[in-house]
Amino acid sequence: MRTSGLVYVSPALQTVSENALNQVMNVACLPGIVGQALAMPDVHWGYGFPIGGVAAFDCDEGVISPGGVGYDINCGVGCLRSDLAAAELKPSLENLLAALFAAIPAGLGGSGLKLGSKDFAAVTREGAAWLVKQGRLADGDLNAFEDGGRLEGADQATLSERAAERGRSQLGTLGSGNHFIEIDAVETIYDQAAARAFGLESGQVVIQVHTGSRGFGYQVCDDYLHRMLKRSFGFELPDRQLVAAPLASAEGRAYRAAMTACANYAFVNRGLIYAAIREVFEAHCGCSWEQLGLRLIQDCCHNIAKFDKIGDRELCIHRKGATRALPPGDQRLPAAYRTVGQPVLVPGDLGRCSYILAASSGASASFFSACHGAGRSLSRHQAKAGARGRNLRAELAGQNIQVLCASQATLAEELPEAYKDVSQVVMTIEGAGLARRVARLGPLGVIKG
Amino acid sequence: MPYRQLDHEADLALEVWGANQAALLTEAALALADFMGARTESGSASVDVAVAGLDLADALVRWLQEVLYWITVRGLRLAAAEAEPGPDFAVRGRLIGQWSQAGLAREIKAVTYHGLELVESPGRQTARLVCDL
Repeated sequence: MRTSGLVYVSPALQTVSENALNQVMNVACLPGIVGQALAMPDVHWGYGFPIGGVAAFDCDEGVISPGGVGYDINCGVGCLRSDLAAAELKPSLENLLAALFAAIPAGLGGSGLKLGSKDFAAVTREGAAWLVKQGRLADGDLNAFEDGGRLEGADQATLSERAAERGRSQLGTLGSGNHFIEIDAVETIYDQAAARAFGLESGQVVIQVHTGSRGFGYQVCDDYLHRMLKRSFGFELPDRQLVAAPLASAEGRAYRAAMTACANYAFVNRGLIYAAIREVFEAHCGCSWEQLGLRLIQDCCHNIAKFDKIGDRELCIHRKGATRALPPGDQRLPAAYRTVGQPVLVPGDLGRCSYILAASSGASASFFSACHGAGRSLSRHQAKAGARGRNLRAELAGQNIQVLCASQATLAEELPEAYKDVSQVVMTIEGAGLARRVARLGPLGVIKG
Repeated sequence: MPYRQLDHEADLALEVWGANQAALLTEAALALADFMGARTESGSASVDVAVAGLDLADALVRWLQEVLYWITVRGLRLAAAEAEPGPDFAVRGRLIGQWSQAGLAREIKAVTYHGLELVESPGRQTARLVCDL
């Protein structure tokens, strides 16, 4: 190991699995790592890096690792707030969910917006700004995306034909697995000043979206795992899935450009879903999304390698299942959030709650990172076994949570007990001084892929 | 089918076996298709596949990634697979079946290198592999 590992945990959280701890140790073996190999309290086993892992690398001596970003490049979460009260929406929630389910493709495969080569290139280069040009998002929405919804440096020449083929047919789709759209009610406000800045108040309806770059990101990850494995870069790999290339190498530069294209694509994918949600709410409520106050609070990336300046040093910060958390006063934040810190979106499981946090000044200890969710405590296989013989949809309906899903098998894998208690995860983050609770959200209706 | 699902922390762990390398590659392709609900009784469509691995384990992963591509992106439903390992961990093969627009029962998003094991015993080659769902 070239450095030590640091895992943020608390006694209330279940034990971190040995596999995940081994992965933290493996990350600590990579060249050019700066500081410690970190893991957030929602850490669990991943491919190469653990999920919940954060590691920063020197831009001259360090590496970039597809396994440190994840297959679903720029998987992330966004949250729209509204002026609607949960109580007034509940009577028609079933119809609203059905309309969202019909409007937004979920589940396996494509059937999204079909793009020609020119538009695909523009999407990967321009990110969310492309949606503003198309009239699908408003100019003001871009402020709520990390980096304005566009990373610099995407290069079409670094993408395989298969990657482009997969990307061209899946834009505006939710996908399967743990991806979701969730309508929530704000249950509790913890920090009034931050809640005001984010536009949150008790009892209102908010909508969370969780998805990423779909098959495009997977193909790019596979392409670059292969490409990097072919080369020897002069360091031992503890795990093939952790293959990495020096940032200054041709392979490292090419992966960075391809990853950037995927990141921009994912911003557009989520952006199209926000636009579709607004259209469905407009039709359902009979007034414009502006009148409904359906403003994007934040769009967070949680599978990405970002190039950020920490002090005087430019670092490549891998966050795999971790969210950027810029503290109050950071000049990169939009003016509305500069006094309270970046919103950090932390979805929980289907049956409990989610949180909106605000980054705290202590986040400098974690390369300005915080958790990204509850984190799995059961494998999908174990979760399915636990769901056998149960009617999960009826159980959730008994808690006044409506669920629509593309696949019953997915629902079984996503049962609430398959996840850690997100409240304990965020308490650990708060205790470590990385971020603080602003609002707790309770699920009303969920669409699963 | 000569495969079984293993209890594993991962998304999906499979153990697949065959009498030799060619049979292992063939059975692994069919196992993925079976898990995803992408099998068919017969078919006249076929695609030729060629991969070059760094070693046998890498060749197996690349071969299965090809199988995944043809099933999930192009809509091939598998009736049979043929695989012929060559020198330097190259594999040439053919996937046979029919095209379908119908959805899959389950999705496998990626075949990974994580925890990949190949075990050789007399008359039997076994692979344990982990897939991302």
